[in-house]
Amino acid sequence: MFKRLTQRQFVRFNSLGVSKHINEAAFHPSKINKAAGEAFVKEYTEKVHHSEAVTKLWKRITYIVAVPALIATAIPVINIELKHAKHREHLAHLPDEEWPVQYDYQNIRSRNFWWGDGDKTLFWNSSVNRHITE
Amino acid sequence: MKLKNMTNKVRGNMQLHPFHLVGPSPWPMFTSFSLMNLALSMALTSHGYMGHNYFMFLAMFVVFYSMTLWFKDMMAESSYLGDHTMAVKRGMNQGFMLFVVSEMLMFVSLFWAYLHSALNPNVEMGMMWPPMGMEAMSPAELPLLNTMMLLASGVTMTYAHHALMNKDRKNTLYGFMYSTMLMVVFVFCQGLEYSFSSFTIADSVYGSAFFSATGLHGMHMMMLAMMLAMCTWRVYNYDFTNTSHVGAETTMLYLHVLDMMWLFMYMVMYWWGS
Amino acid sequence: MKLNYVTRWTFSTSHKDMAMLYLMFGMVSAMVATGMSVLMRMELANGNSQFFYNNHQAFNVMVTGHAMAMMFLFVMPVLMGAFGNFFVPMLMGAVDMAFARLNNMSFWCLPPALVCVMVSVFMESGPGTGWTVYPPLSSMGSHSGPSVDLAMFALHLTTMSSLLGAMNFMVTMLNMRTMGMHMMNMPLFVWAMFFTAMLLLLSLPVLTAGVTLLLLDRNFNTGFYEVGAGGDPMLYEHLFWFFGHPEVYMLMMPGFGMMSHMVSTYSKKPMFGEVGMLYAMGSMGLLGFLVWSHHMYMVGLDMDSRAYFTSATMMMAVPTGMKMFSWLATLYGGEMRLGVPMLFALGFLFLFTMGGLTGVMLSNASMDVAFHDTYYVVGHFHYVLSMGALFSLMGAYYYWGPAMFGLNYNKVWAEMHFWLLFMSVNMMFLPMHFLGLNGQPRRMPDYPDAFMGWNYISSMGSAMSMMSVLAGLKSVLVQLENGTNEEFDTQVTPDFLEANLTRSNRDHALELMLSRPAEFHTFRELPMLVTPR
Repeated sequence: MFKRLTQRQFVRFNSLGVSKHINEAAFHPSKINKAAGEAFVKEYTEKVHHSEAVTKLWKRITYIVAVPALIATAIPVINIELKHAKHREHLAHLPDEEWPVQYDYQNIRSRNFWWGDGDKTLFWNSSVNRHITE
Repeated sequence: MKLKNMTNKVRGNMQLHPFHLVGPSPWPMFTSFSLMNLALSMALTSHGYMGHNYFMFLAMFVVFYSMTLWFKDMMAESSYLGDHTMAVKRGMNQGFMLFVVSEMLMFVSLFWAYLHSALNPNVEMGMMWPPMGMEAMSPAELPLLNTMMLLASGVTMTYAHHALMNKDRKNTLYGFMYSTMLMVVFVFCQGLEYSFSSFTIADSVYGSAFFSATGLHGMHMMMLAMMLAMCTWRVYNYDFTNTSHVGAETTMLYLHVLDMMWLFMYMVMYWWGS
Repeated sequence: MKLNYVTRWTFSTSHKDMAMLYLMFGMVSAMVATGMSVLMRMELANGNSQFFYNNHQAFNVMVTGHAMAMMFLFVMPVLMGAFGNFFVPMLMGAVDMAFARLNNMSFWCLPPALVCVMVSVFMESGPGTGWTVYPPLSSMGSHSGPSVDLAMFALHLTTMSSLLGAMNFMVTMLNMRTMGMHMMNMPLFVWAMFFTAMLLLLSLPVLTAGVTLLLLDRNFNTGFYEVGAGGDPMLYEHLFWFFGHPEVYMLMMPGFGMMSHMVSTYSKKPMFGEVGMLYAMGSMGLLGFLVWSHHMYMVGLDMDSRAYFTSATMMMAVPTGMKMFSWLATLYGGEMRLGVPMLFALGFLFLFTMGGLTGVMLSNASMDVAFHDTYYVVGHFHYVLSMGALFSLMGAYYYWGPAMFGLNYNKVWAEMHFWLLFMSVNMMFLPMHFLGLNGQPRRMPDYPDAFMGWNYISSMGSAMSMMSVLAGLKSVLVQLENGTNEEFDTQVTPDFLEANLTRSNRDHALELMLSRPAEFHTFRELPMLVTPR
C-alpha cells in the first residue's frame, strides 16, 4: 500500500472533445457482468420484499403501541395541566407582597429588551411571571 | 433491454462520470446577502438604530425565500431532471451526516454550558440547582407527553420509511402525515410549556441554559416539521421512488437524531436537573 | 461553454472560478488587515501616544480588526478557499466539488463578513475586545454599542462559510475520488485539507454556540457569563478555546500539505515518510482538541488541569517534529533547487521551527506565568502564523500560481518579495520576544521608555513589511500582465517542471499534468490512478 503511495501514477484521457471510446459499443456483450447485474436485481427485490413485512410490523407498532401510549400519557397530563391552569388564575391575582421572594439572579435586566415595553421576555406570561421592582 | 444497442456515440456526448455538475445559480449569493441583511438589521435593531423590528422580519423572510428557491431547484434536479445518480445521492447523504455531526456539537456545547453551572452552582445562586427560589418544571407532566410524542414520531417515521422502500404509497403517506402532526403538536406543546413556565430566560443561568438549549431544539423541531411537511407533500406529489428519496432519508436521519437529542435533554435538564 | 460575465463570477458553480474569487477577496482583506497592523506598529513606534491621540480603545479596536480580518478573511479563505478549492478536486481527479452551489455560498458569506467586521470597527467606539471577545469586557456593561454584536455576526458568517466548506471538502474527498484512488493514495495536500475540514466541522459549532450565548447575554438578558446570575465567564473561555485551539491548526494544516508538495518537488525526491506525515497530521488534529486550556493557564485553573494541559501540549511537539524532520529528510540528499516557492518553503521550515520552539516554552504552565499576555505570546504566534501560514501561502501562490493562471511569475520580483518579507517579519517579530520576556503586556498602546528600543526596531520592521506587500503586489501584477503562457511547450519556468525528476512524464501529480490553466471543466473524462509501474 505504501509503495503505491509514493509511486502514484495517473493516466489521463483526452480532456477535450469526445471520448476515445466513442466508437465502442456502450454495452458490448463481453463487457456485461451478468452475475453482478443479477446480484443487484436480487438484492433490490429482496430489499423490497423484506420491507413489506417490516412495514406491517411498524404499522402495528404505530397503532398498537404508539397511539395507546400517547393517549395513556395525554390523559393524566391534561388533567394535571387543567389543575395548573386553575392555580395560575389564583397566581394572577396574587398581590406583589405575597409573591415569592425575588433573588438578585432573577429577572436580570442588564439592558432593556429591544421589543415591547423593554421589560418582558419573549414568552412572558403575566400570570406566572412577575418583575417586581421597588 | 433496448439499452444493449446504445453505443458510446450517444454516451460519449454525455458526461462520462456519475457526478452532477450544477449549472450557475443565483441562490447562494442571494442567500448569503440576505444573511448579511439579517445580521446587520438584527444588530442595528437590537441597539435602537432602527425604529421597529419590521426590517429584521423582512430580512428573515428574504433568507427563507431565497432558501426556498434554492431547494426548489434541488427538488427539480432530483425528481424531474434525474441528476441525482447513486454517486450523487451517496454524497448528499454523507454531506447531511456531516451537517448533523456539526449540529450535535452545537448541542454538546449547550450541554457544556448547562453542566458548567449545574455541576457546581456558585454561591451567588445559593449553591443549589435549580437555584434557590426557582421552581423547575416537573418532568412527569407536559415534558413527559412531549417525550412520548417524539418516541412515537420515531415509530411512525420508521413505518413511513419501510413503506416507502416497499413502494407502498398509502402507508408512506400515513407515516409522514403522522410524523408531521406529531412534530407540530410537539412544537405547540413546547410553546405552551414556555408560556406557562414560572421562570424566564432572564432568570439566572438556570433559566438561560434551560431556554437556550430547549429553544435550540425547538427551532430544529420547527425546521423538522417543515421538512416533514415538505416530504409529505412530495410523497403525495409522486416525487419519491422507492430507491430515490434523499429528501426523505435526510429528514428521517434528522428526526431520529433530534429525538435522541431530546431524550438526552429530557434526562439531563428536566429530570436530573430538576 | 459561454457564460455571461456576471453569471460566471457571481452565480458561479465552478470550483476554479470560486478559487479565483477567494484569492481576490483574500488579497483585499489582507490589505485591510495589514493596514491595521501598521497603524498599531506606528502607534507603538515610540513611547507616549503617536497616532491614536491617547484613544486606547481605538488601538484595541485595531487589534480586533487585524486579527479577525487576517485569520477569518485572509488566511482561511486563501488557504482553504482558494488553494483548497482549486487543487483538492484537481489532485484527486474529481470533476468539481461535491456541492457546487454550497461552495459558492461559502464564498459569498465572506464579503458580508468583511462588511460586518468593518461596520463593527467603525461603529461607535468599536469592539476593543481582541479577537477572543472575552466577557465581561465584551458584555453589555463594557461594550454597549452594536460593535461587538456585529463582530459576532461576522464570526457567524465566516463560521457558516467554513462549515459548509468543510462538509463540501470532506464529501468531495470521501465520495469523488477518481478511479483507482483510495483514501491512502490521496496526495498530502488533500489529506491536509481533510484534517482541516474535520477540525472545522468539530470545532466551529462550539464557537457558534459560545458566541451565540454571548449575544444572548448581551441582548436577551441571559446569565451565562454573568457571575451575579450564577454564570461564569470561564465557560466562554472554555468554549472559545475549544474552538480557538483547533482554529490555529486549521490555519496551519493546509500549509503543511503544500509544504510537502513544494519540498518534494524542489528536492527532486518523493516526500520522505509520506504515510508518517499523514498520521502526524491526523494526530495533530486529534491532539488539537485536547489542549485548549493552555490558553487559560492564568485564570485559576486547578493544578491537575494545568499539569495535564502542559503535558498534552508538549506532546504536540512530537507530530510537529515528525513533520519537520520528514521535510528535512526529504531535503537531505535531494537535488535542491532554490526556486521561489522553495525559498518560501525553506523560510517556512526555519521560522516555523522557531515559532514551534517558543510554543514549547509557552506550553509550560509554570513558565506561562511569566509569558502570559506579554509580547512573547504575540511574537510566538506571529512566527507560527505570519511566517508559518503566510510563507506556505505565498510559496503555494508561486508554486501553483502558474497552474492556476497559466501565467508565469517574474522571478526577480518574486524573490524581492520573498527577501523583503523574510527580513521584515523577522525584524518585526523577533524583538517582540525580547519585549515579552521583559514584561511588556500585549494589547497595550503605551509602554515605559525602557521598551522603546526594540519597539522602534519592530515598528521599522512593520514599515518594511509594507514594502514587501508592495513588492508582492507588483509581483502579482507583473505575473498577470506579462506572464509568458504563449510558449506553451518549452516552458522553462514555472520551474516546478524544470525541477522535476521526471520532466517528460510527471504523472504522479495530477495538477501538473493538466493544461495551464486547466479547462473550465477540468475532466470531461475521469483520469485513472494505475498501480506502480
